[in-house]
Amino acid sequence: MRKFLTAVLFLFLPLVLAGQTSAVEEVLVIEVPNLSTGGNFCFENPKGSVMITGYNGEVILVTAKLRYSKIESSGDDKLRKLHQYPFEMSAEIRGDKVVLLCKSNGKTVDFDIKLPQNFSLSIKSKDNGEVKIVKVNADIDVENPHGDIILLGIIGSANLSSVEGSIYADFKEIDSTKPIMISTLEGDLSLGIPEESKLSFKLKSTEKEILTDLNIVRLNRGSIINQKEDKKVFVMDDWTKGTLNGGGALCTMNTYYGNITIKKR
Amino acid sequence: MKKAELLKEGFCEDEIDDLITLDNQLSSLPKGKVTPGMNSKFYLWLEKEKSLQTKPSILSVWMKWIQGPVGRVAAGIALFVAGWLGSTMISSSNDRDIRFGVLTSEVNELKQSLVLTKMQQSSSMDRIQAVNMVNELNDVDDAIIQSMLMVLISDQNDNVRLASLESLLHYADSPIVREGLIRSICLQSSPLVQLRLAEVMMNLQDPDAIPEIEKVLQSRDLNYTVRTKYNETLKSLT
Repeated sequence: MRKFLTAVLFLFLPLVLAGQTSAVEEVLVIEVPNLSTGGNFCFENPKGSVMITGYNGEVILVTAKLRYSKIESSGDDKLRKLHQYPFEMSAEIRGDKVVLLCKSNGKTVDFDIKLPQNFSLSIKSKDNGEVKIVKVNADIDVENPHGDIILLGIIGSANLSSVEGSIYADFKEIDSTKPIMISTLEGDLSLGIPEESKLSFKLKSTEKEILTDLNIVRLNRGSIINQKEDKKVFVMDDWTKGTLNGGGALCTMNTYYGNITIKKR
Repeated sequence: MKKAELLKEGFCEDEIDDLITLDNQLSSLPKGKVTPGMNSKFYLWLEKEKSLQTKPSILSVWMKWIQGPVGRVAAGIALFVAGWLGSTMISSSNDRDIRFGVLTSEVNELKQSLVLTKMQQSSSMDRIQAVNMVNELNDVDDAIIQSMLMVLISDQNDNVRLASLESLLHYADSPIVREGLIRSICLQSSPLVQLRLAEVMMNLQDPDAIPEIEKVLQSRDLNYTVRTKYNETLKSLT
């Protein structure tokens, strides 16, 4: 459904407090009607952290803050420097999808976003920051190749990937109809779930360990058959597979250099 | 005959003594009394034994009956009924098998349609679910394989491409899949997918991958771990 919703964007002029504080902060309020069915919030931060908190409100409140700002003197004691807006920020609404856009011209901008809890998320931070999401009751998709990803008190499912960072995902409740996939190359992976969750696991830590305090039953591994011309090769599956409480939605966790920890919350 | 005469005839003395002893013992046994009805009882018992010996078996009675005109007709009818019942049972079992086969095939087609639809969804979790579902299908047609290869090459999400690669490994004996995997080596930018592809190529041992791996190794931005793995793979292939 791609129906335009009327939306009001309030772009509060920058609360530039030059000369008083080093922080440069801007606030964007996005009013989104028809929130009962939820929506999808997408944001790709070119450089910086993203902190998202779900709440019971009806607007999306975006606070963007320049991480490093210089207090420069104009050189004349009578004149002070009026800072230009350091980055551009806008939002588009199409149907139930809200897209936040930011152009920061190489500057590091950290975002703090408050949004209705039933919004699913699609978040990317391309560089220099972590992504933290708290109390969201929907599907979460995060890519943060150079930083950590932290999820706290989530109800739903998640698709999380990093390369250099670690990932910590704490689920208050699992969506039994959706898969969970968590991958990184160099970091650790931690998953916290309720003890009674029903999940099927597919796990691989190439260089380190898989640790758990849950009653995950490991399954016998199968083989993958490769045939080429007259040669047939049987390769043992290199994933560790198991089930919790008889199995359920598939949870895939994969790291090359890190540990995998699965704990009851 | 006396003992002396027997000795003359050439009998052994010991044997003659034994026989004399036995004769004496038999003579000393008490004699039974003969009753008047004894003869008639004996002959009754004899007749009874004779009749038991000559009584025909059930099988022979049946055989005789079947060989008769009524038996032949009855046997024919029984054979006809048994044949009809047997054929009905076999044909109904075949019908069930055919219907079950058609139903399984329809379910498989529905699942394939669902997989293809989910692969087009905007939610990355739906796309992961779709590529995971492929391994649950009984038969996978070319459309599914091509879609999975397309996902591996062009999906925007690293984990979706990774999940697609894992599912495709189950069909790595297909030349189309093998070629697709090799072709995708140069098109991957995520170290997660690149590293897995390097491991896969190490297992597949397909020398066709050598030029593609060499191209990737020329990239300056290649992740250190990925470069190391591709070098190992290249060494194992050459």
